[in-house]
This record gives sequence, structure tokens and C-alpha cells, in this order.
Amino acid sequence: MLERLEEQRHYVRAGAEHNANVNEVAYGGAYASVGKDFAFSAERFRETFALTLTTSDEERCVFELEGCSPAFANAFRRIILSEVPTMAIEKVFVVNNTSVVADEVFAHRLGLVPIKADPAMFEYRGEGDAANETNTIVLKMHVRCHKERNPDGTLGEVVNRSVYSNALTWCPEGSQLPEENGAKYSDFKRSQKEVVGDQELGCVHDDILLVKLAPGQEVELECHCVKGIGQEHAKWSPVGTCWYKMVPEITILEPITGADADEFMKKCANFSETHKCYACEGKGDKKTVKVVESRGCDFCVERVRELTGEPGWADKIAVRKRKDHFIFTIETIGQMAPGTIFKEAVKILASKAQNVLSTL
Amino acid sequence: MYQEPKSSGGGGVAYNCGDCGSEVLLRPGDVIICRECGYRILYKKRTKQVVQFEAR
Repeated sequence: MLERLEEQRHYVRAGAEHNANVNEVAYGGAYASVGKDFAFSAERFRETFALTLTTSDEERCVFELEGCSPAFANAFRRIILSEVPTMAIEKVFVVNNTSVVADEVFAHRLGLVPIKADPAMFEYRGEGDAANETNTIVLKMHVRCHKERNPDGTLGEVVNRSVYSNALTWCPEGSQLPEENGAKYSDFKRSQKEVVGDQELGCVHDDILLVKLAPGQEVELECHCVKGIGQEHAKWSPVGTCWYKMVPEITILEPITGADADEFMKKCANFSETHKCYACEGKGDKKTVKVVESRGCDFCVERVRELTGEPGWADKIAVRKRKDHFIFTIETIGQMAPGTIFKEAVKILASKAQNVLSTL
Repeated sequence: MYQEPKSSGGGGVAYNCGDCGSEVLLRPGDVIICRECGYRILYKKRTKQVVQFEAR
């Protein structure tokens, strides 16, 4: 009875047709009749919670969250996707565009270009706020496709056929567009270099194709980047995507021997030379399957799950998934390190919790 | 205020030829035709004003 209860509490059972035990019981007194108290306690959380880094580089990191509810993992995922701020192009002032790409399409394209700037150094720009050095980054671009003139006066190669994101250059002194009707496009009190220090602002990647031009075509424009969050528009999302999965566990319920072992190895293990999640020991009728890698791999977990739907297999093997242990992956688009993004998300969740406490 | 893109001389409005791209000055009553290539579709010039777009 208690064993069943523990399994129900900790594992989702991934069956061939459906998943069983997917619920999480939040109410602490739910199991009072069997003398169990599973109410959330901060102390127990501190003891059991663990975060382990698996792999990490500048753009991607994989880590494991252990001992927390799926609600936590999901909260972090949602906050990372839509509430961690970044900088992105929001306004595009087009002076001239004779390319085949329409102004509004080009503006939308520019908006999606990742901007290299620490959002912590900038403020949000409100509705009526003027663009100043603390809330706006100005980037300009002026490209013309033409034939280059050789030193001897003849015409040479066509230049600027393709315009890449390195054509966007940072204007630390603010907008360089001429004043119009006495109104300036930006109101910089000092150079932005004093705000951001030594770093050079611009695009994260230099090689994003923005537009292709034919000889004689020209694009001249200025972009104003502001701080924002993914909730308003996906261009502000700091990640390409971010996801988690529950840790799978492949358990042999009763020994798989003889012909069954052959069938199992054929269906779930020997599909590739390099696949080493299972081993077969012994010979003939004594042949037994052993699980080498209890988490399986991306290729075999689903095969095993499907096999449990075949007659007779459901009692022999099971795919179960931990409800409180997650493999979390963050894939950034380069402005911020994945670790920084996660830390920001934790801070945001903490401030939300604080907000709830103060309004109670 | 918005102003019509006036041509350089004051005599007529400048258009671009839809075929060869050259500039054509037209006065009221003129035949709509490119003086370089004879093409009959002319385009209005883009405004010299800065146009603002939202990057969304």
C-alpha cells in the first residue's frame, strides 16, 4: 500500500496508450488517513533540493533540478521565455529604402536581430518618454549597392549585394537624423559610452542576412532599441527556446529471459551499433536482459514505452518518469549567458513571491 | 508639414521611369512617357521625410 503510494507520488507511469499518475497532490492533509504528511515545508525543500550542471557553454546549458515540484520547473521555463528582459530594435526610421523588401517587412526583420547589450544597464522606456542614453540604443545603417570604381577608372566588382547585420553601427551620441520641425529624434544628455563603459554595443552576430540589393539600390535608416520582455513580443525573449523533461527510469519488473530477451533486444536495443543502454547476459533460455543505463536515451525510451503496449509486456517492463526531477535545457540567442538568464528568472520569481506576501 | 517632393528646377514634378530608372520631369499636360527609353509607366518619388515603423 505504502509502496504504491510512494510510486504514485514520485512517478508518472508512461504507458503505451496513456500516462498514469500524472497528478500532483498539493494538499498536505490528503494522506492523513494513512498517517502521512506530505505538506510542503521550506525546511524539507532546502534539504532535498539540488541543482546539478550537466553541460554548459556560451549558448546552451543543461542542468538537473531535483526535489522540486513541476510547478517550479514550469514557472522558471515560463519566466525565462517571456519575462526576462533584453534589448531589441523597436523603432525603425527609414530615410530611404529602394530595395525590394518593403519598409514594414524590413522593420520587422530588424526587430528580430539579437542586440548585444546588458539590459541591466538600461531602463524601460515609457509611453511618452524621450529617447535618452539610459533607455535607448541607436543603431544606424546606410548601404548602397553599386559597382566599385577601380584606380584606373574602370568599373569593378558589384559591392553590397548582400547586407548583413554588421552594417548596423552604434551611435553612442544618439540619433544622427536631422531635427524635424524643431523636434529631435533623441535626447541624449551625454555619450552612451559613459553609461556602458568600455563595451561596444551592436548586434550579437555579424552575419545575419538582412536584405539583398541590386546595383543602384540603397537603404538608409536608423534603429532605436529599447528594453522589453518576451511577453510583449518574442523579439525580446532571451532564448531561442527553453524546456525541461522529467527524468525517465526504465525498470524491469520481472526478469526478461529466453525468447523474450531476444525480442526485447531486437526491438529496443539493437537498432544501432553504438546503442549501449541494455545488455544481454547468459545463453539460450538463461539469457537475461539487464538495464545498463536506467535513464535510457532519446532513442530507446520511446521504443520501450511502445513495447509495453504489446500483449504480456506490461508486467515485465515499465517506463516511469520522476515527477520531482527535471532535465532543464536553456538555449540562448547570444546576448546573455544561459546561467545569467536562469539567475534573472530566479530573481523575478522571488520578486513575484514577495509581491504576493506584501499584498496578503 | 508634409511637402510634395518638388523637383530640382521648379518646372514640374520629378518621376522615376519604371523600366530604366532615369528621372523624368513632368509638367501639367505633358505626355506620360520616359524621355530615355519611351516606357510609359512612371513612379512617384519616395518622400524625403523620415518614415517611422514599428519593428513588430
